Amino acid sequence: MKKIYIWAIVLIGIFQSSCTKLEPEFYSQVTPNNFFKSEKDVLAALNRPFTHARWYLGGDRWSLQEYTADNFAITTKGRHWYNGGTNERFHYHKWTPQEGWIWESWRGTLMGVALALDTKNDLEKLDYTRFALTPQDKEAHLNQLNTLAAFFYLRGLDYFGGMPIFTSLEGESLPRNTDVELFNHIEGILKEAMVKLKKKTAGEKEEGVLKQAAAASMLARLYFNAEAYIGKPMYNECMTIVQAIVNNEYGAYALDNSWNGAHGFTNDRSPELIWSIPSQFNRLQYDWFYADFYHYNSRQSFNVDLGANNGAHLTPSRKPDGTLYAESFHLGSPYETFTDGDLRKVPYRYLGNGNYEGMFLIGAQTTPAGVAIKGGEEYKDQNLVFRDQVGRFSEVGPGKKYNSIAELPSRIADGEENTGVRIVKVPIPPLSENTLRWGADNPVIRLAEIYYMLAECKWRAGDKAAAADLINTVRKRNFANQADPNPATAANLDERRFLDEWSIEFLAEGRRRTDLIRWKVFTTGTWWDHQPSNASHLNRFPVPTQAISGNNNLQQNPGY
Amino acid sequence: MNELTDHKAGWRYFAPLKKDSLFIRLTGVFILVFSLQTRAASIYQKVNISSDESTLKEVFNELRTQTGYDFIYTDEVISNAKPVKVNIKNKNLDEALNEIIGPQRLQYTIQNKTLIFTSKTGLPTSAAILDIDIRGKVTDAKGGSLPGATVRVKGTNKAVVTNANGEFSLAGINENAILTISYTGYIAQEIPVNKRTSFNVMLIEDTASLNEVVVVGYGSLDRKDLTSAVSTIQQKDLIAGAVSPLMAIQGKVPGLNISSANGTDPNSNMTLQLRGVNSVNASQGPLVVIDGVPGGDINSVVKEDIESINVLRDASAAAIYGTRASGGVILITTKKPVGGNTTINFTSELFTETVRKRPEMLSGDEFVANGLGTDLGHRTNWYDEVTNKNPFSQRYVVNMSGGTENANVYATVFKRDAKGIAIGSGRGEIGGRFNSNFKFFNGVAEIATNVSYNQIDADYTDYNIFNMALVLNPTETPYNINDVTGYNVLVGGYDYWNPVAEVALRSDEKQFRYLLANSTLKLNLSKDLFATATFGIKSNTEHLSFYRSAQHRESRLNGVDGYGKQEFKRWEDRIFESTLNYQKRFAEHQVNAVAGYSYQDFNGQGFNGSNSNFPVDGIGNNDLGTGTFLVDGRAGMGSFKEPWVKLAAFFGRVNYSFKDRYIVTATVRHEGSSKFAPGNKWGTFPGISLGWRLSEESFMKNLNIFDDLKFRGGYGETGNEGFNANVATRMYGADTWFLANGQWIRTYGVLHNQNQNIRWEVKKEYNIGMDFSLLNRKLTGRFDYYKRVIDDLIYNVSVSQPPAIYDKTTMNIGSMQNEGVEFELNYNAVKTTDWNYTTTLVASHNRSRLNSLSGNQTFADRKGFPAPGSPGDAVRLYPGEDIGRFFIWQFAGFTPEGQWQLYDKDNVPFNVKERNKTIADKRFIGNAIPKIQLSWNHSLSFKNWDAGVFLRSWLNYDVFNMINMYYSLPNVKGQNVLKDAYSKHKNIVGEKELSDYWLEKGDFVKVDAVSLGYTFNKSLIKPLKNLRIYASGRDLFVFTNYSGLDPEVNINGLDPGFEERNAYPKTRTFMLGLQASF
Repeated sequence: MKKIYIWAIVLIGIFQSSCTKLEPEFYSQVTPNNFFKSEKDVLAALNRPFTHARWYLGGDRWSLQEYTADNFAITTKGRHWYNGGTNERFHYHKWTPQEGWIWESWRGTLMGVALALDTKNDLEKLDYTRFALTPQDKEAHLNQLNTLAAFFYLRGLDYFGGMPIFTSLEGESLPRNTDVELFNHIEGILKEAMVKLKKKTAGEKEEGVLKQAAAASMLARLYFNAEAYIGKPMYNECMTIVQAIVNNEYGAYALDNSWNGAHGFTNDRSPELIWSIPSQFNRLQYDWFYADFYHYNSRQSFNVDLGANNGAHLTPSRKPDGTLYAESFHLGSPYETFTDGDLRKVPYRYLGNGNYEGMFLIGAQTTPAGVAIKGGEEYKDQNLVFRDQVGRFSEVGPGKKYNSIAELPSRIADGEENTGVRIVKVPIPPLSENTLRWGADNPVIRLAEIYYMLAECKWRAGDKAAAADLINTVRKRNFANQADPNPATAANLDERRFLDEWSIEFLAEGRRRTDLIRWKVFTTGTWWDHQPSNASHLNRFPVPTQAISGNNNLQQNPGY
Repeated sequence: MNELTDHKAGWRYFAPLKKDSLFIRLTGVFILVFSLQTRAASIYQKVNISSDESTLKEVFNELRTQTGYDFIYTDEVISNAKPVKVNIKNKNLDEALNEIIGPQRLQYTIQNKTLIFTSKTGLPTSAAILDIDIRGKVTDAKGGSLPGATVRVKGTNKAVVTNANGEFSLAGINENAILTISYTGYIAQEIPVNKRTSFNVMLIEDTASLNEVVVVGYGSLDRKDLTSAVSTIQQKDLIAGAVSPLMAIQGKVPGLNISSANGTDPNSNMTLQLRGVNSVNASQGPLVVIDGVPGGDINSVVKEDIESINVLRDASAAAIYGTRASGGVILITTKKPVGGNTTINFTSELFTETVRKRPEMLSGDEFVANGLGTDLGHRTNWYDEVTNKNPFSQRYVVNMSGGTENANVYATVFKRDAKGIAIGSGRGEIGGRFNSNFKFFNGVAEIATNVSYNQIDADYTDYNIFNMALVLNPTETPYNINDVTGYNVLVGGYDYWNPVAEVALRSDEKQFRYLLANSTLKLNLSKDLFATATFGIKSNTEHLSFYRSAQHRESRLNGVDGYGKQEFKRWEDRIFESTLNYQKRFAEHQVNAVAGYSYQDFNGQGFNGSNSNFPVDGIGNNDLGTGTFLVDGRAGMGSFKEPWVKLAAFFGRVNYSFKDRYIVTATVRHEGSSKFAPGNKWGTFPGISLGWRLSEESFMKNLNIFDDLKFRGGYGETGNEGFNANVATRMYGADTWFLANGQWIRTYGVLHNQNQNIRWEVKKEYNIGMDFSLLNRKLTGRFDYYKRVIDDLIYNVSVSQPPAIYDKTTMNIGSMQNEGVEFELNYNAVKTTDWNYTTTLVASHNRSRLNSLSGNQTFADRKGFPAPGSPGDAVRLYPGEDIGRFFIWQFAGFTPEGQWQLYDKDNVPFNVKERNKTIADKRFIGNAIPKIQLSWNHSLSFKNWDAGVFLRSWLNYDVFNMINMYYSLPNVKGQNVLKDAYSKHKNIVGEKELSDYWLEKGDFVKVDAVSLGYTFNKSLIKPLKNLRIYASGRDLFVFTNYSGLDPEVNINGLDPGFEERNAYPKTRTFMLGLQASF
């Protein structure tokens, strides 16, 4: 019996000493401590916040800028797209703090800041010489991250006003800073970065790296909209900077000669791009818009293997009876705002080898071989014809809801599957050339904007002739032989024309709301199916409920 | 010797309520037991009795009152007895008995706390000791033979089991040896041989629940020694007609809520919750321990293999499981092998089901008449299209048991083939179990091994078909003979699709394999001490195969010929545990103690591949490489390996009882987990509980009311570490591509928010309880009150960004509490030879409240309502508020134009069209947690028939009817809606509002199960030993005023009380079963 005791105790002893050390072991993740081995790793970390920027520049942030303004709408198309009234609420300026678009934009903005600061924190600790990099490289890297954080803050200021300012990842549940404090914070970062970032040399490709001119352009945007942001116009400060950019003081840039040079498959080589997010098939793809912008059967006209949901289109230029809205009000009508003869104002057609023409899907839709494309909903088995009108045309006729087109209402609720002109700002190649697909980079800042800012500053300073000149410098490339039949002049360049020029050049570039606010028409203007609220608090979005849930110290914006 | 044919003259164990009924009388039947020359120990109960002329019956009555022992005797014993003349003061019961029965020709045996008296028949006289051959028969009280009973020669290794006729024989036995006869479920007997060679032994069924052995963590205790709230469910208590062991105890355990995420779908997951929400985020369900392996998968167990399910309800009992026991512990014990001739049980069950309630949508004509959409010419009932008519399911189980005393096995094989009411839903299961027990070194060492394997082939439906069945245009048809598939494939838009085509044109299959194996070495070091060492492994795999045909709507929309995916994942958890157990009785003291060590680790990994655009549709995803997306660089591939997580613990428990009256149990577990940062790894979880068996006190005995009355009180702490293993570590992971220096590189950044300070979530629980038994154990019951506080709640909380990178961090954020009462009453109202009727009532009440949230996090919003629209969040966790309240706007009536009005924060109604509602106008309304949950079971048997009715009820709670909210308003266009939209709601014009307008009282009474069975007479079915056929119906009727499909919505977790739009159909299930053994 004694023997058994001994055996038992030995046995138990062996087992019990087996494990009390409880170190976790990780397999498919790495910790930052053992990550940085070479320059490639530094770049891999440096660019993580930039992939966030790529996401940030599309989707809900774009929706807030465009569906609330006069150029784009998602109409309810029969049984599709009512979405519980979300699209109507944004179109009619009736949004609430519960909206998903607003939450995603708040969250995305501050996550961008946090990612930039977090990466900066890791890179600051590194000895760059270990990776055969210079202290200047390090300074440029850190300032890229600072500038990126400033960019996110700038967008946040535009959407929401003051946000909590972080310069490191210390501090918990900070309350919001004031508009002015955030303004000053952004200004401070950008002023430093404008000097410390690298300067673009002539001929260099634009591949997503933030350079001096990008920071300068952001600062210009800050001053340009300062009246909306902090109630203090700073057009003169803006003018100084944009003039300097135009003068190539922050690097070598030039307007592109062709109408689509800044948007085409090789736009990384366009001299016009100041900052863009690179894009390539199967890598980082500038493709977020595709599903919402095109019809279910648009894949036949592009000849691609991409499905779409038939949501967004331009707001209509024409009433159901065919007459122009421009006779009733000045804003909106984006398609007809383009002068006839504009190279952009023709249907998109892929010509082969990366060449294409036109910027819209409008009229009868056909395959590249010319076969008519059919509809599947209201126009099931009938030819699909996109029209620059909104109305339930399929319900007109004997025994139907409407006796004549004259009775047709044109509201956001009245779409059909073929409603609205579709935009093709980003060229779509056919399946046979799908290595080119998503080859066009996403331009974030381009020199044309600097020209327009300079023009507007001069216009506001009273120099309308100079303003018209600057606009025409950009405009003329959009016409055959640069012969612009409708140039801006000191005489015709009024507020209405100026807003049209912004709309034409920057259609679908996600900035329209900002322009309308700067021109003080966002809450006072009328456009298709939109009556002014005259409620100035709507110039800012509410702090989303979910953000307040995560940080109860956040103060809601007035009016919400 | 016995008259075994007269059934009416069997045991009258529970006689009518008169005083002498406290005795158990035997009429007309003898039991043969032989005198006790050797009793293991004296009976320490002291008695006082003095009598001149009392009858023996009166004396026994008095002794029973004083000691609590049961006295069993035959009529013959009493009728032949002489008057008793004794004067006994403060003597042990056995001494007293010797004095009392000395002059009588009587003898007695002791079985636990039962004394069995018989007439003295044998005369022990002989000097020479010889070896003799003996034989005999073992029967039950009704005279039926008991095959498989163990007959052991005490103190030796010699043992046999009885054959099919209950007979045994043993050769070369010492003529003075003592035989021990035992059989599971019966009171074991000791019989001295006394030179006899022929024995007829009758075993008495063990119905005295006090002596029931209850499995608790790392051991077992007699129920009388239990000081905490433990519910025991035996095989016979399982609800008829349920397949899953969990659904078979639904409503049976007070405080334990079991709900199926998707009704009767064979692939549905279950959620479990004990005594309310006990954690905000970390794993909330109870820890399932299968044959000692913590964290076992319930899929490893087939219902028929269950010996018992014990639920450790309060923390003083659960504390020995430490970190994972916050949600309580469910101990599942599978059947142990029984030595003897092989017995085989065969079970066959056939099922079918029908839809019990369906939503009332507009018909095709009404749809057209109300202008909701174009008349496409058909009239389709989409709900019929997405449900199977009377789907048929079947299952077969064979269990076998046999072996010798020293080596025996129990084995099961089973097969199940189930089809759901939802089209496309099916499940095939095949598996088995092998439990074995080997003894060696003369019984000093034992090895018990349990292995179970279950392979499941699941075909998944898409639960959104039920939502689609509600909204689709009823004039649309699911079929189109001109389409190559025969279906009307709706392409375009993601809002509406043909559910029939959907399920037919894709396949979503998973194969699961569950292996659970453990082996325990037990060393019986002495009579009182044994040591165990257990190795166990849980190995689960999951293999997904998904294929979308080239004709599927998404393939057509994208112009891609099909999409295929395969994914394989596996998990391996290993466990090692060793314990030292000690049990000893010293006079009036009894000690039962265990100490041990436990190590467990968890590993998981997997990979997946996907591809699109295949040359041949018919091959499906079986040749993944042929899709063109691979060469385009658009195919998917991935793999992962989870962090290696380890848990180690030292634990112990001592149960000490004094005079069988005062009992204390103390447990502790010191446990560490690799999930925490250094310094926070280890936690200690103590538990202590006290019991006082008031019924053992003489003043209570004199009252003669309670057979048993025990008060219990306990306190325990348990932990929770159910969060992601990465949380405490800062980590980089790959994001998408970016261009750097002209090269595309993968970017890397922080994967998740790090929280180095994360600590154990600790639950502290008080429990006060009472167990009682009266009317000769016909009425038994339990009552418990508990209050618990959970500190350092772990939650994925919304945080401010920055400093956090992502919007949620896993943190210890606050404190919450649960409070409740539980009640259980069991009444064996009728027990005669022919009739038996027992009714059981289980009731519970729970209230959970959030006490605090830390820092600046003063509330957290949940349950964001889905698109369309942005209705907002319907639940807010707010300090001081009960879990289960809805945080919504309050409805203030409709304007004459049909616009919604809500109350603002000052209780003034406003029109939502005139001013935007704000969060400040929201308020806490209603309550999703029933004030009382009840279940009421009836089981009745008459001769060979048995029947049961099981009712369940929830009272005083609210349900948020999401189906009504989304589909009962006339402003919803282009899709089908409920009839209400054009009757009750026809004048409403506004968009739906997240308000209490959609809240309804949910109170219901449900006829949950009805069953009927018939057991054939053994004489008719030879060679079968047993044959029973039975039938059951489940979920038959619901009595409620709730207008939705089923008021029994999910009430587990933090967002209880919502009936979702894609709710699985509520069905009635019918089952026909057969059990045969031979």
